[in-house]
Amino acid sequence: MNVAEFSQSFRAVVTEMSRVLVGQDDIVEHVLTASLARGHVLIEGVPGLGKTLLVRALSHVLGAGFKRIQFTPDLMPSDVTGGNVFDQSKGQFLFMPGPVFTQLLLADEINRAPAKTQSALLEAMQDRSVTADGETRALPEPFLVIATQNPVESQGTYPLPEAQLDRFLIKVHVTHPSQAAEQQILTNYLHGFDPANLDRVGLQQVLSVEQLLEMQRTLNSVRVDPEIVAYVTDIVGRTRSHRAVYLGASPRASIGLLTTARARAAAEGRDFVVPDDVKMFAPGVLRHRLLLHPDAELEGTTADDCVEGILREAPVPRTAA
Amino acid sequence: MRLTRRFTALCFALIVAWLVLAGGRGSSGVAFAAPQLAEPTLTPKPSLEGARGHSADSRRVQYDPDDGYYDDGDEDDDKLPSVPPGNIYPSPYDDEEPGYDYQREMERSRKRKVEGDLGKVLKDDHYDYCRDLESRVEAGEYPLCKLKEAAKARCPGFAAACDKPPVEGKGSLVGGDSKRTTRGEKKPEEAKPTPPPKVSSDMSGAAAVVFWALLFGLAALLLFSVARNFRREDIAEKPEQPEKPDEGDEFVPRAKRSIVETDVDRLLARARAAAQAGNFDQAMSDAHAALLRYLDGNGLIELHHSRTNGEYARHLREHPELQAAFRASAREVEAVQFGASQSGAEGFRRVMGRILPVLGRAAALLLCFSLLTQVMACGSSGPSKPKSTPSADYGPGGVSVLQSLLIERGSDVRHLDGKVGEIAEDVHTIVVHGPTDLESSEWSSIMAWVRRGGRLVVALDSDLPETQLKAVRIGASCDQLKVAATYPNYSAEKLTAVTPEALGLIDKSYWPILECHDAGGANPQPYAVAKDLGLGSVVVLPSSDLLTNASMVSDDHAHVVMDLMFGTPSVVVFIDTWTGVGEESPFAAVGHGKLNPFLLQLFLLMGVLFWWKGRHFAKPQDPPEAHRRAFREHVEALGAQYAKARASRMALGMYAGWALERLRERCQPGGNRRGLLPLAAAIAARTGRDERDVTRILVESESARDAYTAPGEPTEDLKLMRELEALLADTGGMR
Repeated sequence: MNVAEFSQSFRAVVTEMSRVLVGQDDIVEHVLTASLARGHVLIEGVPGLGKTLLVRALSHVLGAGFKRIQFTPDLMPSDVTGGNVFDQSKGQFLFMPGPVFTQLLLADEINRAPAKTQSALLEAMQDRSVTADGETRALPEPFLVIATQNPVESQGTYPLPEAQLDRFLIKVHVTHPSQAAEQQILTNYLHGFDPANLDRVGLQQVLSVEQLLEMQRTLNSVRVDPEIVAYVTDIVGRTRSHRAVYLGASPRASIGLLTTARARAAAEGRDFVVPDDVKMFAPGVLRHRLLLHPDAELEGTTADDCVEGILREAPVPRTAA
Repeated sequence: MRLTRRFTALCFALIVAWLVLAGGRGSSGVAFAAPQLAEPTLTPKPSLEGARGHSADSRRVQYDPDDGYYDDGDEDDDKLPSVPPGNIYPSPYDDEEPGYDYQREMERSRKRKVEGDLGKVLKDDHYDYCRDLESRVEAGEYPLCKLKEAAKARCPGFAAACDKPPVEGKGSLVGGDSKRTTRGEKKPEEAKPTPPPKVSSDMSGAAAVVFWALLFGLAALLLFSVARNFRREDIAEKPEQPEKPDEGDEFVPRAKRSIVETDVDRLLARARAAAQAGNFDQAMSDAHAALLRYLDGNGLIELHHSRTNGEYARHLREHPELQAAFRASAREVEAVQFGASQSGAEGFRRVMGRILPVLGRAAALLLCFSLLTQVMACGSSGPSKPKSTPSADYGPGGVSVLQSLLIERGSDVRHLDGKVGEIAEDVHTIVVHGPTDLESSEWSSIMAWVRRGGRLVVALDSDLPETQLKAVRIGASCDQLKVAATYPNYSAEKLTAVTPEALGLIDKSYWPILECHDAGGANPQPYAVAKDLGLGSVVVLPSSDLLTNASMVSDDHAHVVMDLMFGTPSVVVFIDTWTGVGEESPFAAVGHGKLNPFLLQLFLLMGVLFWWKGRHFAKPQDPPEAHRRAFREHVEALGAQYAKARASRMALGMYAGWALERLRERCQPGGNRRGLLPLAAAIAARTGRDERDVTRILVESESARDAYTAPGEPTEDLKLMRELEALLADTGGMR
């Protein structure tokens, strides 16, 4: 598959998704880009904005296996990964795979589970495998975790640990739709749109799993100029010296930024990365990886502010300015 | 980019100047030619055979209602044949159907046509005041309110406005500048725009001194700036001597030279030069940079070192064409910069193909604008340019309704801006209305044109040219306006008089068309008269009231006036108070406006400004290269700041503290600090100086160190610092 075909498939998925997700093309592009870059996505937004619908529609369009875990305070790690169960008929322990053994996993309201349960996803997300009772089992390809969390409620929630956050390739904010988009949503509802029954909507599968994997492999052919690499490291490096940032982004963030930039370049039909690809995805890749100083937080500074400031200062390679 | 900006600014200034110059209504004469013969008209007109000739006579005489002529007391006049009563244009059908009045039927048909045209004209937004019952009438037009009842049917807004007190100056009712006057109460000349108050040149002594001081100060500043600019250029043209780095600076890497070219033309030139040299990578980058600089210079994007091409493209979303061109260019360039594409002549050509149309668009627009303004300026100076829309005021006192009705009939209505010179061949009718200042030579031209077959309608609010028209305006009890008895077909017309004015006729060849009567319907006076003159005809009215918009919407005025216009004239030229106001040329207009000194100063200032700002059209030069300053310069700058703040004691205190530490380290190693006297003794022993002198220096230094905030004497402080410096030099060096 070349980048032109990649771009065509990408656009086809976005177009199909837009049939059920009104006014969220940007979010869809980010999530799809992350999935093509073999990354996981953390979606943050208040309830009722279509986060779950987004994931379900994506699995439908990509033709990938889909499972959902509703994270609750009493959820146990084994409820996520699965575990060994004694089979009396055979007189031995058999491994019962958990819902993580799927291709597209929706971890709904991930911050409602305690850290030990959240951490059950660490290995799965990083190594795409699950180890139980000393035996490591690989997860199916592709494997993509899309987690959602509610930024407003703090009662009975457990903030994600930094190690967990770092494993998400991008974090996406879902905001309220515009008035026009909301009118369209209501119109669709009046015409019988049922988010629980996507088949009835006529949502088509655009890609197969094999095509998705082929697209992921295509990214390896996207060229990255050394100056782009320098630009990426410059941006990430600035997060570590920013006065409001206590803990900057890790090298994993650099790799993630580079990967998403390649995916975006391919989605645009280019076989090379340009600075705009990097800059476009820098907020999504970096915002959840920055730990701010308490005083900065007290001043109301957000990670997005820091990233925005960094992007304003970092010189773009080879411009006329 | 700077060059382009300045070029644009200069061009803009020149255009503005040209517009100012063209502001005066210059006129250029048109070729003399005989006017075309008048086409057949339905205007009631007696035959020439029936007219009685009269020699020019300036005597004031009484109007004789019996024969409709001006009576100068000559008994012979009464013996002359009178104008045949009844229809002066016998209908061809009269003989065929004696029982049917074809002439009257034709009149009714024409009346319906006028009524229809009037309805169309009044739909124009300019006459909204006719429909707006909240409108007001201005004081100058208030006399027209005599027509309010007559105009109520077609223009209720005007009638309603007349019921309100008038407003001073321009009211909401009036669309343009009113040219009317309150006749009978105010002379027409007074209606002309009053000249601006003359600014007194007297100035108090102090103010004059300040004024001239400021002027000379500014001039001196400009001269100094120009001189400094030349000096800078001299320095820039000299081969630069590399600055000797400070001692100890050899390990400091010199700042990398990073001069950003900002001029679009130079970037393009550099791109072409690079392409010729085979460096297409650089050429494409420069070409794209030129596009960026151009867009930045025009305020379409804002260049910043942290912005990407994608962001610039998104900034251009309101300009799709530019955005497409920019995206295409950026893609080509980025494919070379960041992709695996090899730069080449073809790629460079493609980039230039995208960029040059964008860069050329501004120049093309400027050129078009310049040409347009020149065409407009030339157009305004022509005396008889065709106009498809009324040129007159749309208010109640204007004549735009008459012009619109003529246009509806297919006439070409024009306005004469310049002086009356030669009248074009195609002019059929001339309407002279309102207050005018036509010179006698201009009247002579008009009358000569009439004699050659032209049609003239004179409705002046100023004195009539008595010698030319042989008629005068006289006051009269003009309460009713009626069609003259000699025109029975018009007897049904309903008319309303406005101002108490009528005509006194000197030339008895005039025949009356309209008469004004007193309240009792008696004592008729000629109001509209006509006569044949040579091959042409003249219609004279005592004022322009009948032609005004307020009149045209009243009763049957429009019908009558349109008949006075000699049927359907092909070309009608209107002459009014603004005719001849324009100058012969834009330069004369500027001179007449006393703007020559101002413009000369403006151009001089612009010239000096452009000269000062770096020889705009001359040799471009790079911005001065940023050198790394020597440490000495930093120290000197810091010292200057201290001196400026009069902080010599603070400098001495800090220096003394540092120097005493150095002296202890050198002369009392081991950190043994036993006071100043042992230190002085050690220094004296080491340097051979007088111990008392050294003690004094040390004591004063320590005092200065401890009381560094106290006010000091710069000379004394500097002296002490030098003495300390000498001690340091004697004991091991300055550092």
